[in-house]
Amino acid sequence: MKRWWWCGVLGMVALAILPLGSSVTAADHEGQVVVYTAAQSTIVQAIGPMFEKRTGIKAQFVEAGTGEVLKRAQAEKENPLGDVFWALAAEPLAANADLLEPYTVAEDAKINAIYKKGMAGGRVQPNNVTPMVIVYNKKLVSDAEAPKTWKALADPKWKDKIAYAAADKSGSSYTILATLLTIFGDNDAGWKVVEDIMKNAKILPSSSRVPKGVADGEYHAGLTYEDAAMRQVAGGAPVGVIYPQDGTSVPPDGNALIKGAKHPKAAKMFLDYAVSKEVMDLLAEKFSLRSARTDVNPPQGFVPLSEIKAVAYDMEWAGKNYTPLVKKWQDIIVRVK
Amino acid sequence: MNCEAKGVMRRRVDVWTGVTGIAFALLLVLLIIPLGRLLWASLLGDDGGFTLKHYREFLAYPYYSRTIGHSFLVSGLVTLCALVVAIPVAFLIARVDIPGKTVLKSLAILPLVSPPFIGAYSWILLFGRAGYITTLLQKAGITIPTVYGMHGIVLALGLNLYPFVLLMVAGALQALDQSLEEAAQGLGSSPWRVFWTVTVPVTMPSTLGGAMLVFLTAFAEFGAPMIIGEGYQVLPTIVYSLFVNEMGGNPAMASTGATLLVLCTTGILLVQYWLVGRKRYAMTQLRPIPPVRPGPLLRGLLTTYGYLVVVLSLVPALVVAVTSFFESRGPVLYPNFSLGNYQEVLFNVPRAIANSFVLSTASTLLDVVLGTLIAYLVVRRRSAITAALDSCVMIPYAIPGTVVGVAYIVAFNKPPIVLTGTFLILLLAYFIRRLPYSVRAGSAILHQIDPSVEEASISLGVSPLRSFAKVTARLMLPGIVSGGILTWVQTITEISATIFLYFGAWSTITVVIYRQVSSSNFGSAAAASTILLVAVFIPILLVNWAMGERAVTAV
Repeated sequence: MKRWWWCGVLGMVALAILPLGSSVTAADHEGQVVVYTAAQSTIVQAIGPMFEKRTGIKAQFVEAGTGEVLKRAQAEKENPLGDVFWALAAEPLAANADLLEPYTVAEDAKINAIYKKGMAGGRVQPNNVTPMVIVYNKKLVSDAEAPKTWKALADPKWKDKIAYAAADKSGSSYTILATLLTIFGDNDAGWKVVEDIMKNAKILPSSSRVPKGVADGEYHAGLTYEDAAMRQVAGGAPVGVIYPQDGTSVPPDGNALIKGAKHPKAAKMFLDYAVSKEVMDLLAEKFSLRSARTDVNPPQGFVPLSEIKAVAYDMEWAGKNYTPLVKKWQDIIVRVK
Repeated sequence: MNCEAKGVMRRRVDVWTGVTGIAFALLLVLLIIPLGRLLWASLLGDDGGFTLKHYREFLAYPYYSRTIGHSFLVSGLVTLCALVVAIPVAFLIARVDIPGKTVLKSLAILPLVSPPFIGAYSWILLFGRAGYITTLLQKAGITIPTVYGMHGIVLALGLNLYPFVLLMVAGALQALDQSLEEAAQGLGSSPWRVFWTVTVPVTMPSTLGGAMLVFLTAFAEFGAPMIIGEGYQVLPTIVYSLFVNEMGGNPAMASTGATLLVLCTTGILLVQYWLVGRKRYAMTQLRPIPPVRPGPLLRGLLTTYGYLVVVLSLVPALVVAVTSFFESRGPVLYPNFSLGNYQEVLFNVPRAIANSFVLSTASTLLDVVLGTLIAYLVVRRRSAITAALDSCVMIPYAIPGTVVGVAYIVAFNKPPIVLTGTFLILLLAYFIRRLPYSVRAGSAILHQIDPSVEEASISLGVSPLRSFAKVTARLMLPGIVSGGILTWVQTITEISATIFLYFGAWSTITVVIYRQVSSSNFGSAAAASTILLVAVFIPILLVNWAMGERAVTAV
């Protein structure tokens, strides 16, 4: 019985000490803002305290992937618990326009007008932008051999060597699919290119796995987006990044005010602050993110957008045709896998 | 069993009737109403009328329908793999005197703590196309198949879930009374015959119980298939992507998939009832069987085998622990010793760990109390009503946490019950999701306990509830403790419902790990996971030490 006694005491002490670290602050006034975000944890940890210091408003963050954040907000629709969306993929955000309240940020004039198209009539504010790219592993593929175009990835020599995140799971992967159809046409010829690429591809469950898998040498090349790829480069991984010569899209991620937000004033202050020059400069310098603002330099080592061949990517079209396009993609997967 | 005792058991209206009522009420509010609404959506057409078209569509579309076959195949193989690995080790722990048993028992449960997402990722680090071991073997001229695909999922899940069987079988062996095997031997049976005609049948309900937990867990698991399946999809991964989809998903199809998951699981459960229901053995354990102490050579061999199995299954945890000390530059890891990853997570780990401990301990206590009572009802008061109760309790097992999370938001975000944004919603979600463990563990051990002692107590005038607490619950203790530990371990690693229900200050350690993994910060994720592993291991070790030799079952 003595052993039990000791365990009991230890347990009590542990239970008594532990909650000390977790005092709950649930004061429900405008002194706080609840931010639903898909931004990386490290970014949240940097920006949260800065916002608090600047405004005196406490920012509470609920962090999850874009899909989870939006699902959560849909379920909470009748009694919203969040105030703003921050740094979610813009396409899915715009597709959920019924959850959003229109708002124009204070420095709206500084934001590149190109990115304001297809943003649910101004409900979504562009934040950072990221071109879709090809990554390759420099140890497995020489620079000369590396695929310079999307079309090159359709060559059977890449069979089982390239990585692509499932278009029905990852938003950026769907953007890549829609970009390919923009370039090659949403017709038999365009879908043939998609099918040939999918024949070669290993299908991964999330977009972050593609650059990681290529960097680790699990795959020779992959279809992904710029900032995830550039983080691997910055970390020293043997990874090369290619801006496809047959063109690419440069979609933004977005912020928005949640309809029925409990702290609308604080929420608007957060939205203004999120796209302020101070934050955007920091994101570019420390976190390698390209800003949608016209007066922020691209992160170091990034190609200027003017040197990237951009295609006329129609976000509205991509958003409207999500279901039929993904279904066609799934049919291809059933056929080739 | 004499007539009088039978009379006592036949008295239908007593305190247990009340317990049945309370259990049903809880399940109604916490399970049937929130989830029923969601699953019902699979039967509604666009016009709101009743239709089966979603089911026809689901089954007619190979992208979806083939995953049902995949799920049965994977779960079947995983169960087989877990049985083969676990049963010998269970015998070893229950019957043989080997050194360091407390540590071995405690280590054997750790595979269940396999941190979400990152555990399965370890297999890629080792056996992927560019994995450490793959590369090493390639240099030696040996080519092995990569870990990706169906066989990889089976390997990862088999080594992750075998502790379920191990715990249940070891518990059953421990509860065997010495006289049973002695009697058989005394009647001239060879040890081999005793094993097959006494030991195996008597422990069969527990073995099947453990196998069932493995099968069902594997059936509902989506983490490992997502990570190493490389496109090999099972039913839960499809449900997840239909449900949580960046572009809005397909709610009706998602409900259809989730309902099919529940139907499959209930079907499997019925098969198990049928198997166990026909053969039941009960005994009163008076003298536990003392462990055998074999000769030094055999003892050495057996010890090595036991530790080998456990260490192999801990490979993912070890890989995670080692990588946590690597140097990180952004998402890239370098094999130089560094504490940088720990510094990185220090910002939010202490509070998250505290939250995880408080939430999982509280919900485990609730589970243990209600689970034990339900187990008693199901086993001792067999009727159509308690059978229905048992099936209801198992539903959360089959439903992906994601679905539970979303169902809870919808149900508890407006009057009469508003729980969103509080810790209570997490607590209740954990409670309902992990209740099956306590019920299964409790009913498995009850099948082995002879009801006559309790009946005697009742016929001597002690109230039914008191008799239960004083007699049966004590005999059940090993089973209750092992069920409690399973519950606790599975709760503290919960992520899929948590990600929808956590709020501000109530972020858990699994949320931290998950967010680091999705930002490709594997170093920090590994550090947070290692802290979780250590934090879980210490209490388990303490409980085992406290229980001493009394309960092999307690892990």
